[in-house]
Amino acid sequence: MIFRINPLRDFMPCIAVYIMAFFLLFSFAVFASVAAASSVGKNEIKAADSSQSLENMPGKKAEKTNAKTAGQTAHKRTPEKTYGAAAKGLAKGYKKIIHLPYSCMIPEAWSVSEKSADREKETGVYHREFTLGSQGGKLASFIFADYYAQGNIEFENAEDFITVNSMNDADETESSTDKYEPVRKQKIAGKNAFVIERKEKRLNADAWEKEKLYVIPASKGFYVLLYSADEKVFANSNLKEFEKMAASFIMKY
Amino acid sequence: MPNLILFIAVLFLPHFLHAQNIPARFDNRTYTVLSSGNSAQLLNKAMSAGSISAAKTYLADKKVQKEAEAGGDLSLRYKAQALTELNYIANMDWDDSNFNSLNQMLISRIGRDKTLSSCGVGPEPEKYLEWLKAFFPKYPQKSYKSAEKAVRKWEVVFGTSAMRMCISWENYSIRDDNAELNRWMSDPQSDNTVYIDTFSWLSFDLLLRNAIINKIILDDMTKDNSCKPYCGSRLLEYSSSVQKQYEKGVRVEKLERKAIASGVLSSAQANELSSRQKSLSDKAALLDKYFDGSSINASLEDKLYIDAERGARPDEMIPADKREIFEVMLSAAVSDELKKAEAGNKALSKGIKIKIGILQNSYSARDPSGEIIIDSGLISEYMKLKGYAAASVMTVKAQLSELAAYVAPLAVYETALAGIEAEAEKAGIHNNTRTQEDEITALGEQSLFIAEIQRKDASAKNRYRSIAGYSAYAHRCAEMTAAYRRGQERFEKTVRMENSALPSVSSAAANSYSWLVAEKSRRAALSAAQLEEESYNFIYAYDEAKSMSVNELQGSIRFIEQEGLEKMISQFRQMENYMDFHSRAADETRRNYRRMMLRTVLKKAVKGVKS
Repeated sequence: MIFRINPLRDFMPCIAVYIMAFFLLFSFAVFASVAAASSVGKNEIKAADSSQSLENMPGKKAEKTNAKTAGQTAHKRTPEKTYGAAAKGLAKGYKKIIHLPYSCMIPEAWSVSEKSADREKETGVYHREFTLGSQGGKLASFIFADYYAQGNIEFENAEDFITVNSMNDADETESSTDKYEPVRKQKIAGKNAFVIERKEKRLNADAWEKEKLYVIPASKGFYVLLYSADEKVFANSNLKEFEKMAASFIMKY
Repeated sequence: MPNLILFIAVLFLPHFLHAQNIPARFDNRTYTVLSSGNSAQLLNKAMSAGSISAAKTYLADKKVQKEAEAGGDLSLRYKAQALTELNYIANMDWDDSNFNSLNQMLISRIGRDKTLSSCGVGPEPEKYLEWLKAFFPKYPQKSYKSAEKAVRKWEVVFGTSAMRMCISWENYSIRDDNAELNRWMSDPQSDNTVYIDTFSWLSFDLLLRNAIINKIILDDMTKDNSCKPYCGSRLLEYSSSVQKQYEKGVRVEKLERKAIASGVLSSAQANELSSRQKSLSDKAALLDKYFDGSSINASLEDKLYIDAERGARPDEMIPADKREIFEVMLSAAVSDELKKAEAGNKALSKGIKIKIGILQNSYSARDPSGEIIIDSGLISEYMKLKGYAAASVMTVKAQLSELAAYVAPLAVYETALAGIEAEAEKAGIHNNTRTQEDEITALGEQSLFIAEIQRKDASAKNRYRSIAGYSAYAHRCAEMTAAYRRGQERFEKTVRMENSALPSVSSAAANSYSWLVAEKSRRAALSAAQLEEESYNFIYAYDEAKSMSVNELQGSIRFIEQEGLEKMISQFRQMENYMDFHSRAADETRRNYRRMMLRTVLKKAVKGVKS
């Protein structure tokens, strides 16, 4: 009997098994690394690993689930489940911000700065600052999107925030260096919000800094969206983007 | 066979998915690092390439930190902190209005022997731009342009790359202050002259670039033979101080024209006023004289402005022979003011003694015995703006109390700084460099004090705001108190911008640590004979070395005794506790502020607000 070696017939199963084994091991390693890498530096900004942060949130303790359960639940949640429509499809040129206490959409050109998660936990103030595109003017334009958790170190509640931020140090609403419009109510993203509009003279730059704030009371704590710019360029496209961002704003609490 | 293909395709799926997960464009570099697990060595490699992700990962991964720092080497921690801090700075809102503040922030962070140089961001300032391009693919265009101005990119500053300049530095005072320039000049072939072109510019650090730009502006000023910089100097925007001086010059000139046009002045007076040889302060003094003693129609704002710009008259200065009595009177009056507020009582608990002195570039200081020194110029400035004479301030109690109330926040500020130094001493670390965090802590206390006084005393409500346009000190008090009221983030942002020339705690620590460790390694590589020979130059014992500022340390590091060097390195392990102290202090002040506001702010009805 003559043995003829047919490489395709005789070795292919063996080679296939080796390849499969190799790729199984390799893909396991890759999956593990994906899990490690996914928590760092994506285009969308995450406050922190959600399971950890939920445990750390002040005011979260009162929830029925204990910290561990909350962590597990959060792990299973997708951004869509947690934040709804805002985290789904994006218009061209926009990116989504998924910060633990809220989500919203912002133009891709805006950059975001954040503080350490530890400090957020200590102070109960969850702060994000967005740097905006060029619009001219003597003063820088910026936007804050903040969540003040219950028991935060700065303000007792939304009312305190509004009181302090709707008049100057001398308890006046108008002086030679600042002017505060009367606080009014407005619906923002389906929620009742309070609108503060104010301007202050910046002596160093010899310009007026104008600001618009939405203060949104929540079931636990409150949210503040702030847009600040040189009065001369205040009403430009950045204001429109700010309004769009506010309209896409979805609160967690 | 199709099954096999399908199986292999499924096996490849994770790789495909993984490719989609590569975070940012430049993080491709760190991708390999992160995908093979976090190890200190790999993270170090990524951080050396400037990766922010790797820096954040290092600071978040306690296990890797423990592994890397087991031998007492903290260099990775400082690398990571320097990168995350630079990331924070890059994300601040920079534009044409504030790029000089960015320049000041980068001076203490980017350059030869700075920690960020080991992360690929430096020593050439242009490396910052490369880092921005690499790690911020969607960085706002206006911020990038301001970064180019901040690093003084040749093409941006001079508008062309084909240019060569020759600048003579003979008898120029900036030479004394600039180590880099001195090094350049020590070359015997330099002939006190710097030839600058696009290539030599690359080797200059930010300090030297600023010095050269200032020199060009001053040369322009000399050409114009005027007391103010040459109006056409296109480099004016690169020097905030000269620009401010220029703007003052423009305003005084406007008032000068107004006075001459009024027709009230004699031709001799008009000629004297318009003389180009008169300094800004001399012209302001003349205008003050003419405004007061004539019918020239000047507004209150103009009069206050002129008062602020002119030099103090003899009767507006405390006479030398009465200074001691005045210091006793002022100390008692400041103590009375401090007693009015809780934050003041805290400062008062260790006793306050005020002295008057001439200070450069600050309103207050402390002498080694703990006595608070207040700048005599600040006191004269207040007297000028209020129209008080030194004699009346010393005799009329109301005027003395008013002055004491005006300067009392400085006592709170200095006491807070003394507390920070005591904390550093307690932690056993050397801290003789003023940092941005020190300012945040001390100005926070000061703002709490001012706010509390304002809530209790109706007459204090406009104390600073009313003269903020004419006094830098009053402006600082008003601005900081308003920023503090708007929240901690707003306040910290304001303080950092206003004190952009100061390093942060972590950047000061990172640079000091890297110099000390580099020096230790250098000495370790020496032979015993060489080390012994060098040891004759070890003139600074530990106690002297620990009281050096960061800049002094850099220049004197080769002269520190070996034992002192080792001790200083070992103390960096306690740095974290000290850094936490600033956060704790800021939180405590903020809580006190909230309590105070809750107690005293009239709750204006904003109906329907419920949290």
